[in-house]
Amino acid sequence: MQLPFSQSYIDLQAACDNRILLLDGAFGTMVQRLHLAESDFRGEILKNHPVDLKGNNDVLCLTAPEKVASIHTAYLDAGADIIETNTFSSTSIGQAEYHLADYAYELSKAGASVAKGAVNACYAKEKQAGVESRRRFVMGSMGPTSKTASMSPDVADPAFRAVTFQNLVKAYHEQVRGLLDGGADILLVETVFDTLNCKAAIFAIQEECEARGELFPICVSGTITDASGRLLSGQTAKAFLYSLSSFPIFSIGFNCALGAKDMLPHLEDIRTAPMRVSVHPNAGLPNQFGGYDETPEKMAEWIATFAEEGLVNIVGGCCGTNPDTIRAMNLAIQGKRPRMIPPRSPHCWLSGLEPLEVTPDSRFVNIGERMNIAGSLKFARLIREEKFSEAVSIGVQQAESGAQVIDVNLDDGMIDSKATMVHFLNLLMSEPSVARCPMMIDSSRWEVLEAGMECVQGKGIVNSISLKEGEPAFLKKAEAIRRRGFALVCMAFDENGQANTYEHRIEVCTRMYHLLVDKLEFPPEEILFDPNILTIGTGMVEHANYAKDYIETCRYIRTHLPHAHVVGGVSNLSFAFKGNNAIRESMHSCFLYHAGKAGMDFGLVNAGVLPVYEDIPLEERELIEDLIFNRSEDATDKLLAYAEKIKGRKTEGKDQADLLAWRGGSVQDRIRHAMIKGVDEFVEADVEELRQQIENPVEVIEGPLMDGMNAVGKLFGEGKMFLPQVVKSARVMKRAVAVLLPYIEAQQKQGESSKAGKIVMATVKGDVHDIGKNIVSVVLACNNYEVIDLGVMVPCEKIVEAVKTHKPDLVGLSGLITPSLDEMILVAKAFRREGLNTPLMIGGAAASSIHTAVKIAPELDAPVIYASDAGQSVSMVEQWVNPKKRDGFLRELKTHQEFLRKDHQKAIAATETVSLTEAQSRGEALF
Amino acid sequence: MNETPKWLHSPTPRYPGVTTLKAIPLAELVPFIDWSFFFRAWEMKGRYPEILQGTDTKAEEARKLYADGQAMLQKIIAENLFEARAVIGFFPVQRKGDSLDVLPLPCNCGLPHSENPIAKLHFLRQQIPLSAEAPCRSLADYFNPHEKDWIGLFALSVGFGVDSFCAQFRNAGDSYSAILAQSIADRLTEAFAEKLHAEVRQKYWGYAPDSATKFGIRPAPGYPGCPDHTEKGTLWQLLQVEERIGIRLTESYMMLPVSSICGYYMAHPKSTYFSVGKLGEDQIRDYAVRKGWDEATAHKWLVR
Repeated sequence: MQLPFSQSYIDLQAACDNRILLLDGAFGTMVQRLHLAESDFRGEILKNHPVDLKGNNDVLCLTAPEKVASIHTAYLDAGADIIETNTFSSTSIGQAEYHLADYAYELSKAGASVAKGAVNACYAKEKQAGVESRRRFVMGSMGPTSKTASMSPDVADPAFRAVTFQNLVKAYHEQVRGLLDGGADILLVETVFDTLNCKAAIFAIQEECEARGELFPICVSGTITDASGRLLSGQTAKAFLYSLSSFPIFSIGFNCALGAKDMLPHLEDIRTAPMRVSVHPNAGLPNQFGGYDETPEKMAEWIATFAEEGLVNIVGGCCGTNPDTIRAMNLAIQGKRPRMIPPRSPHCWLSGLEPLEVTPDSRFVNIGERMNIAGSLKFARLIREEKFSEAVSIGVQQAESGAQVIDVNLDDGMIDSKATMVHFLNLLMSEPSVARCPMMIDSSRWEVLEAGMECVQGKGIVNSISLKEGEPAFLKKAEAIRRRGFALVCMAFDENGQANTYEHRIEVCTRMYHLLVDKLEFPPEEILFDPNILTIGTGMVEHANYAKDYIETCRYIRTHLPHAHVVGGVSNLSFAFKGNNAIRESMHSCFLYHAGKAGMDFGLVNAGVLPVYEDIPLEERELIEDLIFNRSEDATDKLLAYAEKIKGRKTEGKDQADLLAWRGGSVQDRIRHAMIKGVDEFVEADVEELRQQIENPVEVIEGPLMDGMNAVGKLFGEGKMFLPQVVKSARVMKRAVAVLLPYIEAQQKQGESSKAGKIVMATVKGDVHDIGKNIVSVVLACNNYEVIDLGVMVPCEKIVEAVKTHKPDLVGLSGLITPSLDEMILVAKAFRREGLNTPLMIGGAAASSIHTAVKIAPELDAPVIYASDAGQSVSMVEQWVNPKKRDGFLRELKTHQEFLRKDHQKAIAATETVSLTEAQSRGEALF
Repeated sequence: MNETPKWLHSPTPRYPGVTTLKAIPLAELVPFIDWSFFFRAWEMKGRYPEILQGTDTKAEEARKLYADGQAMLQKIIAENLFEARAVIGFFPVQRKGDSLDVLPLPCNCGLPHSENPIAKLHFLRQQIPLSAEAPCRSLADYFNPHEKDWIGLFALSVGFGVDSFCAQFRNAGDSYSAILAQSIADRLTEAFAEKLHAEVRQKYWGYAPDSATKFGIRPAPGYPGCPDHTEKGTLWQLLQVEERIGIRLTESYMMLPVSSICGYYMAHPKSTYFSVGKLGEDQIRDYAVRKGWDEATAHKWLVR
């Protein structure tokens, strides 16, 4: 049900279409400037309040409204289009510590009306001056509260929550009512450090909007805590966007914690957001005294860059900014076009801590099915015995063996499914390897689904609803799901029962599709149809077409119901062959192969155990396909007979409880495993075994060793592996190569190099520190680069000579101390003199991106790249060596370094030193 | 420290002059190791011991790394693979502006001796104060300009034996253990510096005999409070570092072996670490005159 837009929504939209809108700056910073005393905070109204109120800025809306108004006015005068109410903590939760929980509504309302008053005063002033007023907006600020709904404050009890989704909804609802009653035009859910808190706020706003019969603009602004690029609750910027993508929000963006510069990558991450984008950064990172130093001019320059890059629609300032900042920003955005809003992606956006985008080109999405009481005896036992942490490890195993979505089904007569779902999801959310994935909340009971959705900060999938209880119930549930921002599975079931023929299946699915899309405007890309995978090979004639019809239904859905997806639980299919896992897995594999081609794109499978379709013996494959497609009457009997024959065949995967289980794999798999896990114990024997099997020892390197190494490099690049692991993998590689080297040399076949590139590394003359350089060398080697390490104290001439001899793709220079920087400049100059155009990569404690851009890069015609750590160095080298990425990389490098140079010029001009005489007279007088 | 003692000048050290310490048992350094920096060397951010806690892969990897590091440390200690050596010295000084004249040690025999300076130590001063009221700090401020005061100097290393030990691993294709050993050596060196500083306060200088009282700093030439690396040359001359314990300086004034630290001991109760920051051209010229440099040399060593 789309509500009509409020007048403020329409006005805001109109203003936003034409220009970049300007928010105000920090409120707290301005309050500090007023040097208020405890008595100012108390005012007359709270004169006898039992606890101290100093520091509770929100209370000033009630006790000193004229002071609050003066701050709003300062920002309006500076050019702000939108002013934020002073209500960041005006919820019953936020005010509890000041014993003012009962004042939450009143504070919110007062905050909005003070701001509204300031806007009206501004209009009056403009009228008097004969100036035409433009529309100003009051934005109701809703902070994150001090509690988080998806993390436990108690390390010892990870399932504990200090606040629940429903507690938050209640508190936020009260705040929203106050803000709207006080005259707020917009609602801003800001400084989001936990997306689940944010979803509760949006839920509350939607409820209040529905009560009022109009949709107010909802803006959301997340806070990326630090350089990890994640919210405090662990979500990446993109996962945050995906979590919120199906809510009716007006804008998304980031504020606080970072300065403008550091916001840039995150704004890039949400470039595809189908809504407006806002940013209000801090004035740089806090200095050693907790203050903020970035000047208004510098911030404005970044804002101008954001605008030129087409990244923003709404800008402003957070901590440490002031009216001067806003004035400077106002100048910076003049004449700049607002960001174009991209159309809504037709791809399914899901998220856990990390994003998952399902596109038509995506490979089949594996949903881990092992955490289902009905489907796994082991899981059922663990849950019933309340061995939850062991049960969690099943989830970890699935995620590690490739499940991209994790299904949880706790339907069981013996337990309280709802309470267990909440407890178990809370536990799972504290296990990053599982929490990384989107969750599928699976239950036949609505209250379990509802409770499950309220535990998860990511965007998951609800499994499932159907027309079993008729249209009104279906619509009501679907709306409740949308209001919590989830995707959903619709099971092909209607008032007449389960759909098991082609005709019935497409009829029910089509009906559900139109109800959702036409009546609720539910995003079609977030609908997954489950047209029921039913058991075949039962010997019953009426079951013979089940699989074939399912596959045809997939084809129909994907061609007739745009953007919708198809999902299924595969294990039902082979139930008739219970006890014969070998044949069951082959059946699943064949079925998925064909259903996948017909458009089934999500499947509940036991990730990691399915054989590859092509690896199934042809005879077996044909027998299975006869059964699936009902190609002959005796298909069942023939397959049963065949199944009997192969009963003893070993199946893949199974329980990985045994740590050494991987030793049972093929020798190639063992080597790969050893590489990724960094186990050097067996690798020499394994490599020797493989060498004896194949003719050319080089193939051992190019095959499993390289595969393993590439996987390691990729995982490290993605932040999924840590440095010690990479270095251990490198050790395995070296050991393996040492075994092979004598044979390779004997064959004299070293000629063809399959390396990704060649890098010369050196610590420059006069400098002896090499731990950082050694780490970078190892990590590069691990990413398949040939590294020639010249060691420490390497004079310039030796580096030049090495470049001439080895012709590397790049030279890495490291230095710990300041004089090394001059040495690096000398190397750059020598390269130019000798006509070498090999790029330099600069690293080490003394180096910096600024020094590199300002002092070294101008001395060389080739690129000079600064890398801050091992991870960055690999990514930099890769971008340079890869011809597809090189141009873009160079462009970016050039722009960035030009910016740094300009910035440095300004910084030099801006930092005036006092004279030495004055400095000496201002020494510390300690005697 | 609750109350700042009244401070006219640093007290006379209990052990004035130069003291050499060799073959310090490595096990004594272990309690002073700050493991957080060990993890930082491995690019794993976080504080020890919190970094080891949790169920995520990072904590798991941190635990593995820590176990490997501990095993390596135990091996190094058990087999006495590295040698810890130090030389410390305390000298009377007279402050002259932002420099100190290092005076000859008073002679025990009571004979009159020369008061002519035997060396000069030069410091720099902030020219961008943090606020309008803030002072422009210099390490020289911690010395009494009106009367004789004291300074301590030190150089130490745990690096003897590190290179050959690491090379063994590297030659065996085990860079993991090589880097591990190197990072342990770095930690032991810092631990040694901490331990020695404590002993200087309590014993060798003895200005704060109570182990709970911790004041005074140990800034190192080349670091933010005194960014000129070449001052190490003076330390080497006064302490005879190379002759006594074998640490060498490269042409860029880096120390060999790598796992070495040198610096000043300053005892003033108000002394803190700070950064000198950007220097004005006037100070660079002034410093050049003090050091007897031309301006180009001064720029080379003082300006990034």
